[in-house]
Amino acid sequence: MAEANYLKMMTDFWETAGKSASEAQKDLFQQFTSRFAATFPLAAMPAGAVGPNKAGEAFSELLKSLMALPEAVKAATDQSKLSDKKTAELLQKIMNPQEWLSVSGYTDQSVRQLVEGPKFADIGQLEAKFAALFKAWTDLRTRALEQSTLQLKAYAKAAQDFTGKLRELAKDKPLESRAQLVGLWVDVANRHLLEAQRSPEYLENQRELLRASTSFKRAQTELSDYYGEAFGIPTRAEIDDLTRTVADLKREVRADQRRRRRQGSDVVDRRNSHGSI
Amino acid sequence: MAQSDQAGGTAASNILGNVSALGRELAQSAKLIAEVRDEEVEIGTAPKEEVWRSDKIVLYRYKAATERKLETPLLIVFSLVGRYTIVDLQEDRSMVRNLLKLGIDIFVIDWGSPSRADRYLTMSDYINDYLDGAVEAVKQASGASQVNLLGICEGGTFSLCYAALHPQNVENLILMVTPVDFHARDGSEPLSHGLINLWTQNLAGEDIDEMMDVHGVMSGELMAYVFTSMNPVRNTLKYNLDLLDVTDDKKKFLNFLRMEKWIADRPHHPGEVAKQWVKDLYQNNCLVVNKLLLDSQRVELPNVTMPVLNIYARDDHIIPTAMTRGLGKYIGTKDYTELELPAGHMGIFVSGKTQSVLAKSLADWLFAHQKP
Repeated sequence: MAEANYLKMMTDFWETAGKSASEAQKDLFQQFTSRFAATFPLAAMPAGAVGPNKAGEAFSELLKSLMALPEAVKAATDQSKLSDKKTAELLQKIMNPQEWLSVSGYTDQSVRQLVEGPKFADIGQLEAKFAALFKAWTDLRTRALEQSTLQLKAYAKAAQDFTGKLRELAKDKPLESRAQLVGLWVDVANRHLLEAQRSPEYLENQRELLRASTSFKRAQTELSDYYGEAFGIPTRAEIDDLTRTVADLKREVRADQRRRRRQGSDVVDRRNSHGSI
Repeated sequence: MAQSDQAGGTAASNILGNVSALGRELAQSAKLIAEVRDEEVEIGTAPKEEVWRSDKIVLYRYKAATERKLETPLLIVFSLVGRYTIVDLQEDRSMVRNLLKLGIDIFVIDWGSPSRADRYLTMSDYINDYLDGAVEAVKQASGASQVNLLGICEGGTFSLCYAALHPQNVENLILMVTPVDFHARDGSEPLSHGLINLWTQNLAGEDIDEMMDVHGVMSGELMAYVFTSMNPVRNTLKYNLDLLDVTDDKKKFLNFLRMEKWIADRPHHPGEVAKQWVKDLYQNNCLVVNKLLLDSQRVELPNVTMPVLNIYARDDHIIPTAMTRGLGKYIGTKDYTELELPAGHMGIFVSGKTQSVLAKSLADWLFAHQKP
C-alpha cells in the first residue's frame, strides 16, 4: 500500500479520535442500513418461477438488485468516519453476492462433474438426439437457476437480518473484533440458509434438480451410444454388462479363495488336534 | 509527556496494523499457499506396512511404538465416504499414534478409490468378503483367534453387520460416530443436524436407482457438496477469512491445510452400495428392524453378543446422536457402554479437546474387556 494512503488513514484516525468507537460504528451501520433499505428491493423478488426464461429472469433480477449491496456498503463506509478500514472492507466482502454465489457455484460444479462428457460441438448434427439432449440441458439449467434463486433469497433475508442486528448492537454493545463480526454473520446467514434448505420449496427443487441432472446424463449417454454403435465403439450399456460379468466372476473367485482358506484352517485345526492328518 | 508519547506511539502502531487492508492479508495467505510444499502437508504418516490386499482393498499393520500390551489386535474400519487417514491426520493429532503408544497392535483397512468399474460391488461384498478377508488376514498376521473391531461412521455400520453375521471372529466391538437407527430424532437438534436424513428421504427409491444406473457411482464431488451445504456460510468464508486467522502461524496454517487435504479427497461410492445405503438404511431403516439383507443373509442385531463400546460426538451434525445412541436396545449383549465426546463428526479424531481422552478411554475399555 502506498505511503500516502497510510498518511490519509492516520489523518482520518486522528480526526475521529475524539469520538468513541461505538459512535463510529453506529454511524457506519446507520448509513449502511439506510442505503441498504434504499437499494435493496426485497419486495421485487419473484417467487415460484417456472420454465427457463422465467427462472433466468427471476435469477437475473434478484442478482441485479443484490449486486448494489457492496456499493452501498462502500458508500456508507466512505462517508463514515470509521477508523477501522479493515472491518469496512470485510463488510464489503461478506456482503458481496458473488461470495454467496460460490455456494450455488458448488451446485454448478458438482452437476457439471456429474454430467461431464462430450460437449455439444463434438456431437454433430443428430437432430433428434441433439434436441433431447438440449431439452435435458435446458431443464437442468432451469432447476439450477431456481436453486440459486432460492439460495440468494435466503442470503438476502440474512443480510437484512444481519444489518438489523448490527444496528441494535451499535446502540448498546458494539462489536469489538473482526471475529465477532464474522461470527455474527455466519450465525445469522447459516440459520437462514439452513431454514431455506429445509423448506418444501427447496426440497422440491432439490429433487427435481437431481432428476434433471440424471436425465441430462442419460440423454448424453444415449447420444454417445448412438455414435458408439455406428462406429463400432463399445456403448455404455455394453461396458456395464462387461463390468457386471467381471464383478460376478471376481466374486466367485473370492468365494472360492475363502472356501479354500477355511478348508486350510480346518486342516491346520485337525493337525493341531491330532498331531497329524 | 514521555509516557503519553509512548502510549500515542503504541496506539499509532496498533492503528497502522489495524488499518492495513484486508486485501493485503488475503494476498499474504495466497502467497503462503503458493509457497507451501506438498510434503509439508502430508497426512497419515504413522509407519505401517501392507499385509494383505484384495482387488482395490489393502490391509495395513502399523509399526509398534512400544511393547504390545493387548493380545488381541485392533482392526480399524473406516467409511467409504472418506479416507481412513483422519485417524492419523498428523503427528500430534493421531488416534492411531496415541493407541500405539499404549501398546495396542493396530491394523487398518484402506478401501481404495472405487470407480464405475466397481459399480456392482454390494454391501455384502464389502462386509462378507473384503472385511471378512481382512479379519482373517489380521488373525493370521497376529496369531490371534479373534479381533477387536473398531468401525467408524459407515464403517461402523459395516462392522456392526459383520459382528452380527460373524460373531465368532469379534472379541470386542467398538463403534464411533456410527449410524444405527436412521430415522431416530430427539426433537431438540440444531437446524444443521440430520440434513442428510431429510434429503435422502426426500427422494424416491426409483430416483436413487436411476441415478446409480446412469452415473454408476455416488460421486465424491456430490458427497462433498452435500457436506458443504450442511454448513453453507461457514464454508464460503473458509478459504479466505479463516485463512487470515492462521497466516501468521505456520503450524496452524499447516494444520488447516492438512484438514483441507483430507476433506478434498472424497472417494466415489460404488453404485450398488450407495443404493443399499440410501434405500435400505436412510429410507427404510432396515437395520434396527432386523430386515437388512446382505445377499440372502439377514442381519440380526441380537446376534451381537460381544461387549460393545459406542463412542459418539455430541455436536455431530452428520450422524446426530439419536441415530447412534439407541443401539443398546437392539443388540444381544448386556455389556454395552456409551461414551460421549465434546466434538463434531470428524473433530472427534482431530480436536485438541479429544486427543487426551479418546485413545485413553478406548484403550482402558479394551484392557478391561480383554479375555484372560
